[in-house]
Amino acid sequence: MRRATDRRLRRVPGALLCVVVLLSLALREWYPFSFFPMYASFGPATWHVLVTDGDDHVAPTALLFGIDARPFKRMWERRMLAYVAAGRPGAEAEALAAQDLLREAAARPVPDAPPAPARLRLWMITSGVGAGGLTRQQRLLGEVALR
Amino acid sequence: MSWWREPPPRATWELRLQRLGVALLLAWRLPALPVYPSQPFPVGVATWIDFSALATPAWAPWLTAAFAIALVLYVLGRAMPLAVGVLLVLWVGRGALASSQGGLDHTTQLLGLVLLAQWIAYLRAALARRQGGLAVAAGDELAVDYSMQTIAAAYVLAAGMKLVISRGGWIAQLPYISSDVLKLHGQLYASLGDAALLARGDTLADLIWSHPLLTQLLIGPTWLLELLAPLALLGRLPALLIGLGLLAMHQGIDWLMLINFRENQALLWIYFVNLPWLASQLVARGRQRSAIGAQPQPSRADA
Repeated sequence: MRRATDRRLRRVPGALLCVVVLLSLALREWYPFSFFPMYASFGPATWHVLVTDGDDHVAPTALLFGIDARPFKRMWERRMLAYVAAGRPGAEAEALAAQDLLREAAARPVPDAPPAPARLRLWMITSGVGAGGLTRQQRLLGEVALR
Repeated sequence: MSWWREPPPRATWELRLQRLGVALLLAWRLPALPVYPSQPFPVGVATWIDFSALATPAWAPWLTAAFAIALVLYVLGRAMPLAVGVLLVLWVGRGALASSQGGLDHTTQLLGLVLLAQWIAYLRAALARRQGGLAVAAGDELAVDYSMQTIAAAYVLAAGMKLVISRGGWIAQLPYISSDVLKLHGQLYASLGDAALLARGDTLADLIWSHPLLTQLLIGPTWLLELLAPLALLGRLPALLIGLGLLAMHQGIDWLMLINFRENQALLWIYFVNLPWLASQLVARGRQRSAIGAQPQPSRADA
C-alpha cells in the first residue's frame, strides 16, 4: 500500500478483522458467514449415524450415495426436526426422516457407485466415555425397502 | 514502527504466485464439492438465491468455461472485480447448495469469506483507480491484507467460541474429546466401510481417556494459538510462525480426528506461511552462501 502512495486505500490495522468477527457473531450460521462453533465443548457422549443393508452390513454412504456420514447425520437431524415441528411424535419423526433421507440418498446419481442394497437401515450410534472406559451403543432409527 | 501499520510492499511475482496458489486451490476443490439438484433446507445466502441452477446439466459447460476463464484472469491479474466475482459466486453458490441439504459443513466457509474480502478489495481498488493515480498492485496488496485479516478473524472466532460455549471449561473438558474421536472414526467407517478405522478410533480414544493431563497439555495450547492469530498481521515473520503453528494444529486434528480442513490449510500456506516469499528467502540464502564459498580464500601468508 505504501508503494501505491494513495491514501484512499490506506488500511486501518485489524479493522476488517473486527468487522468480520462482529458480523459473524451477529449473523452466526449465515452461509458463508459462521461463528465457527465446532468442537467448542466436549461431553461424555456423542452420536453419529450409520447406514446398513438388510443384513446389517455397513452400506458406506460416501461410496453409495456420494455423501459423507458427517453431513448425513445433520441431514437426518434436520428432517427429523422438521417432522417434529409438524407435530409428529418423536419416534415416528425419527423413522420418517430416516426413510426420506435413505430414499433421497439412494436416488442420487453417483458415477461408478455400486447398486444400493434392496433394503437400507439407518442407525444412531452413541459413543461415549466414562468410569468403565469406552462405550458404543446403537439404535435403529428407520428403514426402507427400495425394491 | 512503520511495519506495524504497513507491511513491506510485496513483489509482483510474490503476489502473482499467491494468486496462482488460490487459483490452484479453487481448481482442486470446486469440482470436489458435491452437487445437489435442489436446496431443500436453504442456509444463509441460499435463502436469497436459489443456487440449484448451478447443478443444471445444461449449464455445466458454460459454468466450467466461466470458471476456467475467471481462473486465468485471476492469475494474470486482469479484470479482477469480474474474475473474483465469478469465482466468489461459483464457490459460495456451490458451497451454499451443498450446505442447504440439511447438513452444514464448515469446510467451505473460510475460502468463501476470503474470496468475498478479495472481491471488496479489488472493487475498492478499481473505484480508486478510476479517480486516477493508483498503482495496479495496490488492489493485489489490499486483497492479500484483507485475506489475512479474514483468516485471522476466523481463528479468533473459533477461540472465542471455545471460551463462550464451554463457559471457560474447554481445556478441562479436553479428555472428553475421546468420545468425539470415537464418533469421527465411526463416521469415516460409515462413509467408507473400512473396519480398521473403528480399531484405530478405539486405540486413540482409549489413549486419550487414560492420559487426561497429557491431553490437556498437548491440545490445550492450540486455543491460545488460535487466539493469537491476529499477530500474523504484524509482519512476515509473525505470519510465518503463526501459520506454521496453525498448520501443525490442523495436522494434529487431521491425525487425531480425521477432519481435514484442506481449504483452511491451503490458505495458511499461501498467506501466512507465504510459500512464495519463503522460497525466495531460501533461494537468496543459498545464493549468498555459494557466493561466499566461491570467493578466493586468503592464504596463510596473506593472513
